[in-house]
Amino acid sequence: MPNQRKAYVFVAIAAAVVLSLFGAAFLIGKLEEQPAVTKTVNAGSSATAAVIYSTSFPDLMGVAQPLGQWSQKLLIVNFWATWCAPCIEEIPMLVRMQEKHAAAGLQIVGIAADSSANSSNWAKKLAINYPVLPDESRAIEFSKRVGNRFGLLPFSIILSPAGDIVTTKLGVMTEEEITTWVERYRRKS
Amino acid sequence: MNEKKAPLKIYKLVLAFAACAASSAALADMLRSGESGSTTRTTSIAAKPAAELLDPEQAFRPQIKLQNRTTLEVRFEVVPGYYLYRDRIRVDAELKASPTGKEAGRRPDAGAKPIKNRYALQLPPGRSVDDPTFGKVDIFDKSTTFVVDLTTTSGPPLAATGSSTGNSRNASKAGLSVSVTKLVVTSQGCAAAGVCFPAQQHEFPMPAFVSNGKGSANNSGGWLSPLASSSQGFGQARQPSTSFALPK
Repeated sequence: MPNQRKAYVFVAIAAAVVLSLFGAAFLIGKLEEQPAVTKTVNAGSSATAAVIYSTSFPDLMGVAQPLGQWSQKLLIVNFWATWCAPCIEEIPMLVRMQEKHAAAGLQIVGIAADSSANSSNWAKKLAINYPVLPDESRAIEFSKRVGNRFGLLPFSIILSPAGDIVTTKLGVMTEEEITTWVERYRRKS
Repeated sequence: MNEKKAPLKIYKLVLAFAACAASSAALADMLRSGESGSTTRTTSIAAKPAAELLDPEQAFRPQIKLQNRTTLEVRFEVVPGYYLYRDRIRVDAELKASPTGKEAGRRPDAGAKPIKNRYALQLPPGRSVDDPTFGKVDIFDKSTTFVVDLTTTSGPPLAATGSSTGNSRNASKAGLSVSVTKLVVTSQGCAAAGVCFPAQQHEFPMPAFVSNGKGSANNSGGWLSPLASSSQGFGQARQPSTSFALPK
């Protein structure tokens, strides 16, 4: 009967339409995704990267250090403080990572929401092998600007050697996470 | 007959087509975001997603209640999963000293500059924990109340900006009457999930001193909530508040 046949045809066409639309959407999705890394920061991220590179913080000697000097590195900006126990616990791992992956282009920088004296004290205790930049009055506000909603610590933001924001992390980082990023952005020599 | 049925058929087809398009697009989108979701989980926190963290005023709920002119109760209703460091709690007041009696005539603008006073505190013991970094520390991880004697002061006079009269005791001796214009409770704590808040200054309204502890709109049985809480430091100047620096 013609109506039944038409119904079958209709269903077949509908199914074909569904499948092709689905396939198209899937393909478009795949093309949109970046092959290497999925950005977790929103459209403002290149503005954020610019803000980071153009900001300076004092080192333990009081000399202003522009963060842009490390723009060619896989830069991990780690916000910490001596009154923050999880921050202190995270640092020995960061020291190990810095030692191990410096040649691959990793650079960790520790911005402390703390006094120079406290920071220097703990930097010695923990044998910190990367720049420690204490700025009690600016550190937390700056971290809020780059994505740290409540100004909690520890907080880290990672920038690729190409100048993109790779990710942000609230809470301690793990060795696995850092190793993954190092492998992804390893400096080809 | 065909003429009447043709437009109907087309109409149905179009509707069906649109429905399929919508649902498959939705499905594809869901699957796509599901995929990128797994690689996007790089903004994370050890135990709690960042979105679930409370802001410090909600996590620690500081409140004050004035018992009488010399006694203040302070309460922290700490939410489970959060804790405060006992030895980092401070209660400070900004005071205004006005000359009284003979002094009023002699030095009408004495005490124009604000005085800052830090009160001596009798805190409950809290809970003792073994911190891997700091050793034995006392924390408050549940609702805690303590009383502050407003006639006390702890330590030497604080170098408040521009103050020349030192603390409230000195002011009284100098024939000035002292009233509290601002009360600030400082606290510092962490979430058990593994992140810490910077020290918070919770500012409280002070009409309470004039009107029997019932001055504020945020009144529940006499308990007052802060007017404002910030981690910027006591006072308006955006500089390190060294007067109230936390102990090393």
